[in-house]
Amino acid sequence: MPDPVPHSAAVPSSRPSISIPDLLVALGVVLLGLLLLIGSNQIATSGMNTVVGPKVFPLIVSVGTLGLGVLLTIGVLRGHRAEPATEEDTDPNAPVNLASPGLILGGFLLGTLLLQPLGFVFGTAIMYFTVAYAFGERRYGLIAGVALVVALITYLLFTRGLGLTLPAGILKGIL
Amino acid sequence: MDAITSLFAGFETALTPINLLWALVGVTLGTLVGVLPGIGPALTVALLLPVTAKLPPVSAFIMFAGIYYGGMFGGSTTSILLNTPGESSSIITALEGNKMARKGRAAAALATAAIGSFVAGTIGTMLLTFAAPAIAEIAVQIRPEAKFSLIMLAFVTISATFGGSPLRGLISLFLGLCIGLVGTDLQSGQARFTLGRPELLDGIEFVTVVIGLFAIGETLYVASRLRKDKASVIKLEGNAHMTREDWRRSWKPWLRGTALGFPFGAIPAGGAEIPTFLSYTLEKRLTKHPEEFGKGAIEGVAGPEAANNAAAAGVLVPLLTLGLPTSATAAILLAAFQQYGLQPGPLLFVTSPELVWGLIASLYIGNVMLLALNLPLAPVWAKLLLIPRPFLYAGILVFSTVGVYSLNNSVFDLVLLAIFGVIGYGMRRFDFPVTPAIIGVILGPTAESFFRTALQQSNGDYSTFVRQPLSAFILFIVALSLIVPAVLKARKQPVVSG
Amino acid sequence: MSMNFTKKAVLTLSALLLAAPATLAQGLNNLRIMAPAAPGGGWDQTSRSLQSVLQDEGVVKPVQVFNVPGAGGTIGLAQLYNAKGDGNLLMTMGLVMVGAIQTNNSKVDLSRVTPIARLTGEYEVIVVPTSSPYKNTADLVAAWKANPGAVAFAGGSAGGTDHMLVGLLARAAGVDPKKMNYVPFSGGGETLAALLGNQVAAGVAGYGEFEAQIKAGKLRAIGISAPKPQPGIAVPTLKSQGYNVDLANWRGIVAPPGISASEKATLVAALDKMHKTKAWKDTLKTRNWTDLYMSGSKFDVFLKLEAVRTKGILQDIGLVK
Repeated sequence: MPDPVPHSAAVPSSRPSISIPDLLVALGVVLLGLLLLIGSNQIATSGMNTVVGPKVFPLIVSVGTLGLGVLLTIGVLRGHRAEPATEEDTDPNAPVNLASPGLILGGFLLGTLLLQPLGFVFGTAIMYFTVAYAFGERRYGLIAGVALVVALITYLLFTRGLGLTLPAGILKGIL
Repeated sequence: MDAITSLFAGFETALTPINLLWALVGVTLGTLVGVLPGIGPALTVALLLPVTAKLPPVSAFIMFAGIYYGGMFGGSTTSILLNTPGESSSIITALEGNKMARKGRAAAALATAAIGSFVAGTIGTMLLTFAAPAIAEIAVQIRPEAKFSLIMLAFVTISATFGGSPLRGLISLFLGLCIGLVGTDLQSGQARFTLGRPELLDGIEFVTVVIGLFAIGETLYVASRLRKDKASVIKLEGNAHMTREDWRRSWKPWLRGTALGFPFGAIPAGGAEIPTFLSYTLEKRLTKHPEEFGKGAIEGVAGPEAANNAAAAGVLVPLLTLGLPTSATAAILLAAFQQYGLQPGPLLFVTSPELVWGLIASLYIGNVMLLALNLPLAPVWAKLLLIPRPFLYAGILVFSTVGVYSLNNSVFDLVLLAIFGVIGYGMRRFDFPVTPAIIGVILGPTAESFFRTALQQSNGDYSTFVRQPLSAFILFIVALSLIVPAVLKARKQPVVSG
Repeated sequence: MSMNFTKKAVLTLSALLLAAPATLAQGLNNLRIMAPAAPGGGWDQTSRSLQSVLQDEGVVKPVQVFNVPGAGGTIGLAQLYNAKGDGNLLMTMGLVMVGAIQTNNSKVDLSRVTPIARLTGEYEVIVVPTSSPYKNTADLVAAWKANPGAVAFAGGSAGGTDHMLVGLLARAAGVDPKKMNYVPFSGGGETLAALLGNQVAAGVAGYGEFEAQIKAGKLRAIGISAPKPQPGIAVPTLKSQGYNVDLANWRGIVAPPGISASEKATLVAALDKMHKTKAWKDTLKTRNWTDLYMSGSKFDVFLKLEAVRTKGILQDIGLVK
């Protein structure tokens, strides 16, 4: 959620340096706008009688994105920098740790990959385990147990309770 | 009055023990699926269609109505507690509701949501009982020009309401608009930005975007700068229940939210989302505690929650009187009627009065049941936050994943979810508000479709937007809200920085 | 399930075993039906009705339904290709899929799947608001011919059945289909709203979607796309009004490519049997589905012709090159 503090306040006049990450983000928005513009021009128009064709809105959106990206870049070059969001569970002074989110993402993608061969229960249990681990829990037996129970309950709730089809994987025939 | 005698007959139908039981099953199930992200009332009713073919229609519809209202109640719970909106109409609830919960006031937030939902649901049902045909006749006259203008109004207010600066709010909104462009264009049948993937032809499910940006993004962000010093659970401080002050600050937003929500529900393609956005903006303007907005203002929960429940009641007006579904759930309910060989519409009140009035009566009963179910549950739900963080965040992630996966049974959607999670992380890191992006995803395609429909119907006459009185009026307000703040700002300080 | 039920099922099964050749009894005790759409839609409802009749009447047991939504059913179709040679899998499909294959430039089409049967269908109806000056199709066509752009037709998404019907009517009436003004809406509800709000000249949808409003006099039906008058529907056919237009939004069943001839025969026989049951007739009645049953080689031919015809219509409208 946004930080209500205006960011101009975050830029002390004594330090007019340019924040490289902010600049990359701003240029990313510009790039997105450019890619959209190219993509919009590649949309095929049909032979139907349409007053407003399929390209018009994409063009408006891409030009808008491009313009906003340029404004953001100008701001960053003037020394504006974004203040990371503060939340109840976060510590603004803590050193930024990219290993934990990386681990969560890795666990999520691994679980996704194994969702069909191993089955839903094990796939989601892997996800559960990595998140709990990344959040600092080290009682491995406990996490593994909770992960399996949560995954199993969810599976049964969705398949038995709501009649959805989720992959059973290696538990096929048992569940 | 005719309506009153019919309503009493309806209560006789609905108050039989067996139908009360179905109503209870419905509201419980509805609350449950509302709580689960991704699984909403529409999908639940759809999944239950074959099961209920064996029930008599009155019982089935009483249960469906319970699921429908229950889903609206339950959607707020996940928003408030876990900052993961279960339904599109509870996105706004997460803004202030989750901040309240994090300050230990989860129970009060849940209570104001529940009571607000009850008030709005009951008033909405009364309007449905006594004024349905008249409202429905007016609602269909609202033209796409006016609906397009309304969305423009929503865009303007939203970009000014959220985020540290309008620029960052606008970038977020445009990101959402970009996401909304993906998929087959309804009007011309052409694929747009699908990168050759057939999975993208239907566009990106908004649930995937919401859960990616909110739940996954937040999990990644919190993990990157985890607070280690403090206790790892959220404190449940005093004021667990609503105080006198809370009541005093809630009742007006409830009524205003109801007034905004009901008409939007009744308008075809009006939806429950726009009124929640407008209600939030309105409460932010009117509040005596502007400093609390963004930090857990109770008005910001009370208003939008009332608005989305009033909209839910509004949706039933055109459905029952004209056979006109105006939301996804309504479309499924229509399918349910057809399953029984019934056609909702002008004749339904004549051909199956027992069904219609039983259904309407059950809405009153369902609302009371939901209040009775949700108020005592509020402190119990709030205790969910006592779960240690590693287990809580892991649980949120797993539930979110199931919600997204079960929509299409597609691994592709989970990969998209991860991508949106990373974007959500970046938005938090670089101070972009998440909500405008979601609004862009929901309203962008609708805005485009209304715009093009209006021009197609008028065969290319652009002046149609200002020749429609309602549309012209709304566009005038849009122009005012763009010009007035700029003029005021320019007078106060000559230099305006972005 | 009651005792009675089981008994009945056993009786039908044994009757089947006695009457049918050996191939019929083999291999069909575990059938899966794919609904290539989300729960609640037409294909999903067809699949689930089929499931309950097949199971309850003891034709096949057990039957499982699963959903693979997306892209007009072409995502499900791609999965059907992956299940090549699976004789225990069926997929519900229909005219909408035939069209979606064209408009989506789908990599897979229906040329290699194994057609089993056409089951049901619904005819399309053209309606105008009650206050409209057009009393019949000729009135509408006269105004349309005079200024094709000024007569707006509301219907479902571009390239769908509703759009196809307007294209067919344009061709039959001598209006250039590329000049017609078609306003697509994402659902029948929005089409209805545009009509009730007098925002369009005419609207098109499946008869069932407008039935209640037609009967209540809120909309005037001026033509139905059936080849001959339908029982219980007091709407003149387009053919009887001199426009050679015949279109049904049909739904059918196909099996994966590469199944053996005997596997195909088994599936066709099971559906033939299912079609004759009273339970299926009752389902058709309550759901208001028109019986358009056709199986075996007849359906093979029909499917090929329909693919060609659909492509032609979509080219006429300008959606497909």
